[in-house]
Amino acid sequence: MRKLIVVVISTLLLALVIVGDSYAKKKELTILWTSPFQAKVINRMAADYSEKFDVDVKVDVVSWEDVVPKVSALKAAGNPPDLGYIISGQGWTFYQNGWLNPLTEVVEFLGGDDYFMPSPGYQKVQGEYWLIPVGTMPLKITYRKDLFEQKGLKEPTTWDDILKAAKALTEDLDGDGKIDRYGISFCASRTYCLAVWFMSVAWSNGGYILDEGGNVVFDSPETIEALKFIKELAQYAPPGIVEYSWENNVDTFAAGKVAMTEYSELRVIKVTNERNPAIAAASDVAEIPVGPSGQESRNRWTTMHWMSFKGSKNPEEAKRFAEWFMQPSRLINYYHGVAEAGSISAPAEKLVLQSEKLWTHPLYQKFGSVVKKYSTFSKHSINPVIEHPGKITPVVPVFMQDMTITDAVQEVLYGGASPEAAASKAAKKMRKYMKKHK
Amino acid sequence: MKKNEVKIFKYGTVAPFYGLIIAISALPSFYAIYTAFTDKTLFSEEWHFIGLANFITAFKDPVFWLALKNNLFYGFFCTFFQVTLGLGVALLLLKPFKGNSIGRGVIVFPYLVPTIVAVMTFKWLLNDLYGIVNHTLLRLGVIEQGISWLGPSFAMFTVILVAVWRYLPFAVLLFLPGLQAIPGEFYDAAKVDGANSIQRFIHVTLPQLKHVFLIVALLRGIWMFNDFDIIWLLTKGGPVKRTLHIPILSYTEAFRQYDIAQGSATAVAGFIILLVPIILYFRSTRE
Repeated sequence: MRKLIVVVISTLLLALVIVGDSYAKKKELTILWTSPFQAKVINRMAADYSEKFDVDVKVDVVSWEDVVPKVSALKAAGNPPDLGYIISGQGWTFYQNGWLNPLTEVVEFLGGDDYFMPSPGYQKVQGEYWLIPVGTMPLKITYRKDLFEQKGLKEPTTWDDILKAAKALTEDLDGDGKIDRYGISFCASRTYCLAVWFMSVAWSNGGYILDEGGNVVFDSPETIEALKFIKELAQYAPPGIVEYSWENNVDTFAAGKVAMTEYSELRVIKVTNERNPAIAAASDVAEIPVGPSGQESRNRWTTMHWMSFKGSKNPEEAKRFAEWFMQPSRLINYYHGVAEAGSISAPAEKLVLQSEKLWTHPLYQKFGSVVKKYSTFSKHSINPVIEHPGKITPVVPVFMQDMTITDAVQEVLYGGASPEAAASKAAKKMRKYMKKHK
Repeated sequence: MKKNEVKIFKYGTVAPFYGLIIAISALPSFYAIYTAFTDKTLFSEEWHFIGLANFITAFKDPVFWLALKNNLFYGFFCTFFQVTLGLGVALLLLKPFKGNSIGRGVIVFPYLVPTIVAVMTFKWLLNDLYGIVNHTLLRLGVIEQGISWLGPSFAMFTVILVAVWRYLPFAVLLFLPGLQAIPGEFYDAAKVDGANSIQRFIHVTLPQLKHVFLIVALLRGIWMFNDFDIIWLLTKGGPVKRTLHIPILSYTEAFRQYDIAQGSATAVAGFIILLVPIILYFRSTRE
């Protein structure tokens, strides 16, 4: 009898602990964050939100390369994150597979269409907003305005301009017969970075991966011209661009070793300002130059987006967090935090750009004209996942990240292949992939 | 304790460990093999058995054979240099000299450094514009312009160099006690028989180290054939696929093309092909 009483009391106590624990447990919000530079900023904001709304916000920081495997693993385990802060290509891939909840309610709360500047990432699909972009990050050229002026060169807007400038600015400065400063640096390593750079150049010449009907046209004359152009431009780049990724572009520019470089965001300016303020002050940004067959400049557009995952535990709380985060005053704090952490962001939200508070930060004060100029570049942007307006094509980012394009460019630059052969080989691979994954 | 109880106790105590091994090692491996026979993608909620289709795709793709060739080249030379240099360094450290204990400590250093740190350090050392290697060569007049150490001509050499530097301590750490365990009398007897130092090395040291050799070569071989991080962090398989090997090809297919089944098939096919020399090696050294 005594044993029975002990067992009953123990069971009751255990049940009480379990029930009490779950009762006392705060509501939990999980965020998958893919911008490591800004991890400190989001953690600070998550702590603020937790304190204010009594919600336990858990931020999981992962590299963009691990996002799809991570989300698919979490989804398979029945536990997708409530919110994701993820680049557009991956976001639209999730949408295409039916993994997202609409966020129209949040956009309407923020003021609907008036909230954002026109941007390729901000659009309704099937009558709903699925992704909410934060800022804008079109690819662009950062160049040394002072050197351009010294040589009587104008801001490069065409391929001829940039070739002429790159040639003129590749110089032996101390007369020892060795080149001390190169005209341009760009990514030529086997990375996503090269695909982004090359496609921006190709798009600016009217070359695409798919045509409007969804057929592979990577072997078009316009793309072949772009391959030839890149090969020509590489003559005026440092010998090691074959190993260059975006961070190398930042380093070489900040060290004054190159007169031009390509990069998304304004990180080049931010880092150069830390290491070499004189160079940063004498720098400006330009759009991707237009090729002979192109109509106007085109650039790869991306930015981070909020997205809510189907099957997550707290989709309503996820919407509330996104609403809270996206309010202009808070977003300005976020941009200021990011400026401290890693880059100067270009806002794409009208109220943020109009707010005087944004421009009070020393970096926004110093580089205000550059930020404003850069913010307008997204009017010429192509979101890879919507290569042609109105049709979601998640296969385009796949070709940009699976090295198909990168390999084609490297074959031309370093493998001795003709642009025609490299483009044709890549197009064949793309067609094969599309046939398999109809 | 009755006989049956002893049996239950015996199996009961080891069962959790077998369960753990199955859960963390066997199940994922079998799942990867199973996936190779399906059309599963990273987004699939349902998938179908498609037989050998993914293997046929892999074998028909020239990139698979190129990756395999690079894999064998990388694996062989990494293992070869780790084993030979590892033995050489262990022999040096065996000799008593001033600072020997410091040397033994320092030699472990590359193995303690996280791979990402090692790779970033090498990237800076070998940088075309500010790397100390190019800088020194330029100052000495050996080269006219900075060399791109991760360019098409040198990429494979560089990744092997980094891998050998990183994992050499493992070989040294295994060879050193092996050498210390060889009885001094063997060398004395060889000396009495008139053997010089090379002959003593060939006829005493090497036979005595046979088993250590086997272990070092086998473990390093397996690890280097499957090594992913050094190449991925340095070149991602480039340039022009010069350092592309099976693990990177498999990863790209699975996580960049989201074709997890094709990625698994590539990995399994590579594994089976690499299994042949491993089995032959085992058989040849069985005695």
